[in-house]
Amino acid sequence: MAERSFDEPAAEQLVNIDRRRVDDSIVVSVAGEIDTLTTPRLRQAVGEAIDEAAGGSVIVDLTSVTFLGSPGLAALVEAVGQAQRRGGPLRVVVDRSRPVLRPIELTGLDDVLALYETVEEALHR
Amino acid sequence: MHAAPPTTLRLSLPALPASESLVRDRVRRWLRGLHWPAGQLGDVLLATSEAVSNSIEHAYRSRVPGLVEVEGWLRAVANGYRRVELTVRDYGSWRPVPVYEENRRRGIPLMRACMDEVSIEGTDHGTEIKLRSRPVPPAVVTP
Repeated sequence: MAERSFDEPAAEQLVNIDRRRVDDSIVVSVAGEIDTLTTPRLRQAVGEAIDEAAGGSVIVDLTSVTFLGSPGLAALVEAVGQAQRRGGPLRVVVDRSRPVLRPIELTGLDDVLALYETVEEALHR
Repeated sequence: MHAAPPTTLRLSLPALPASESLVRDRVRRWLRGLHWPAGQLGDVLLATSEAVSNSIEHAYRSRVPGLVEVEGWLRAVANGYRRVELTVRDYGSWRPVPVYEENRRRGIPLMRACMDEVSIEGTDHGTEIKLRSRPVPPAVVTP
């Protein structure tokens, strides 16, 4: 492991992102904290999922996210535009978890993002 | 017998992306020690993280990363209510908040929505963001 100048967490320790195909959809499951450090990984994973879905739906599951800051919100908004250009919907799964829902609602993004409470619901709508 | 929880917090970290989560960890531990209600704790964490993110993204954009300093104080309000005040400071040269940038467009409204009061002061020597939380009820400490 590379030497670090202080005891800093690596991006991969703070967030874990998995991608899987379910029929014509790609489900991106995110667990952990989405902030300035980890947002580039979210952006990359969702971008790859949009490419892989090739017009199918992309579902971003945030139910295991414990922190969501403005860089992550910006990445989600950008991803919606990116998915639209590819002709597929981008759906975001959030349950009642306050750390995720709170910043989305405070910034009015609940009107911009297509929100679902479960992955099942997002897959079968 | 437990030692009284600290009423102040003082941190100094490199203005690098990795510092944001370290600040959240420390502020979270501080507020838990003060028995802060969960919802309000989340709001203070979000606002503080946004302030630190602001320092990281803009203050040191074209130079060697400097420091970001976070200070916190517990303040008494009427009837046993309490609030915290936090200052997030950097020493980069100040630049106007770029409203066209996606992150900052939401970061500052987020801070304002989570706090009672937010002030942002930029000078040639750095930027100082002051966050004043909403008042919370007296701590209920279960034995």
